[in-house]
Amino acid sequence: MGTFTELQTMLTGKFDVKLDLIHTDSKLADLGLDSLGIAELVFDIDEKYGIEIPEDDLEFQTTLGEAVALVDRLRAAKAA
Amino acid sequence: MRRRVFVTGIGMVSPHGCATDAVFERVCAGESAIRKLRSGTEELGADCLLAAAELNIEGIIPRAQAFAMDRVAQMAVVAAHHALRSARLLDGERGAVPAQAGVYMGCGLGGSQAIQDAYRTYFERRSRRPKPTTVPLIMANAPAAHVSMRFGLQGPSYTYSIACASSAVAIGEAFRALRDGYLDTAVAGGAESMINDGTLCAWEMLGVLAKEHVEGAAASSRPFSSDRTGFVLGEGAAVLVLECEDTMRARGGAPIAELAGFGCASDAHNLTQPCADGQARAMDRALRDARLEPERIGYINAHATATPTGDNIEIDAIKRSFGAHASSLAISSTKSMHGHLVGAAGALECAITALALQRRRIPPTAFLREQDPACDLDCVPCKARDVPDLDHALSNSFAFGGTDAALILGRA
Repeated sequence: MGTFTELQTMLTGKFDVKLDLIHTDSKLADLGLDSLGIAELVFDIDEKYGIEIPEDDLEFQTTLGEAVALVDRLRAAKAA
Repeated sequence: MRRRVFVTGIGMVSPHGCATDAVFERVCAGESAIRKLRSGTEELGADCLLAAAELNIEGIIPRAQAFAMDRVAQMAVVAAHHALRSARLLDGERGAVPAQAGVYMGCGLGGSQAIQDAYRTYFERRSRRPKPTTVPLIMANAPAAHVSMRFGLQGPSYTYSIACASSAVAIGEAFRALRDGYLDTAVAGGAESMINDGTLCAWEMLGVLAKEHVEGAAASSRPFSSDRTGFVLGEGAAVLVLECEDTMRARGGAPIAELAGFGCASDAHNLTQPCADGQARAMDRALRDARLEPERIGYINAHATATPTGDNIEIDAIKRSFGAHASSLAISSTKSMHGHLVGAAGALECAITALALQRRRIPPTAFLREQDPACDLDCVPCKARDVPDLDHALSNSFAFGGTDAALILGRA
């Protein structure tokens, strides 16, 4: 499963985000997450992939496409 | 001017369930919700006597909010939902939830599951990265905050963390705010949930918990019995909707019972040892606050947790407060069935007392077959009692730390 689909599953599950809001160009701010929600999402992504997203790299204005690219880059760096 | 204050809604998440009428019937039937449950890890787990509550948040707490709520806060919100619905304030039939209502909640330990999870992350997983929601999950005022947010209640939001007296004091302070004109409506009660291994071990080491009785786990909480060995921890939440008389009448609300008095005192004596003097002062103050002679009280829902040293001290305190009338009182401890809910105990027992007044039916002390001679008052053994002329009752809650609280309720 691609990273985008996996993030989509996380967002529609625990955070109850409606599927039709989730696109590569949606900003986290558009998904109804507050700052605590974003912190929790970052934490869950870190746990799932064994990575550590630097503070502030995922924030309200980050798009899901950028988030996917960031996660993939950190995973590749970890595997290297 | 003193305004009259009424209980117009009751909601609970209790070891006997969430349906208030059914809970009261089960308690009157002497049915215990105490079970032996396995707690903890394979290596360090133990069988514990507990009165656990079933929690169902479906349709009440959105999933997108639940992740930032410990079990204790979820229980508080579900109980508040049931209370507001019971007051007919959620269906719009008897008015809307008043935005200016206050929230008064009791909670002893806060989000104890989150405390345990955070320490486990640090010590077991050797990581400095607990969940980012850890602090908001732990904080003791989270239950009150979530109740306020969920129902849009913009009045004061207070949390009382006074161990076993937490929610009795929360209700007492809400009662005073309404009676004295600071508020017209309050959502008041308490929540507690600490059934996790780290916390249970700590309770075990305090030496106050019951041992399993030969009749079985369910019969292990035995207030006033000669063979009592301690209390059984319970969990849950209970919430009352309180309204001043004008507000209630204006919207066509129906009273369940009247809140008539509140008394509070400190033992100034010992952290964990109860003290008859302080308990009697709390009851005396509640009677004066309600402007009632002791003879007007027909029933006491006792604090009586079933510790070997505690129950007889409460009986002694009742004798001091009520004098000759003590022997005419019906006294029962429903902790024999729902266990000790600590920060939620006062609220659950106040709710049961309100229902007892409404139905003129006194729940029993379950399993009381051999009464301790030192507890020589009428402790309503085993069988509920119909008392047609019951018009006032008192509910006691006494805390570690020496805070004693007594609430007086009247038939509406």
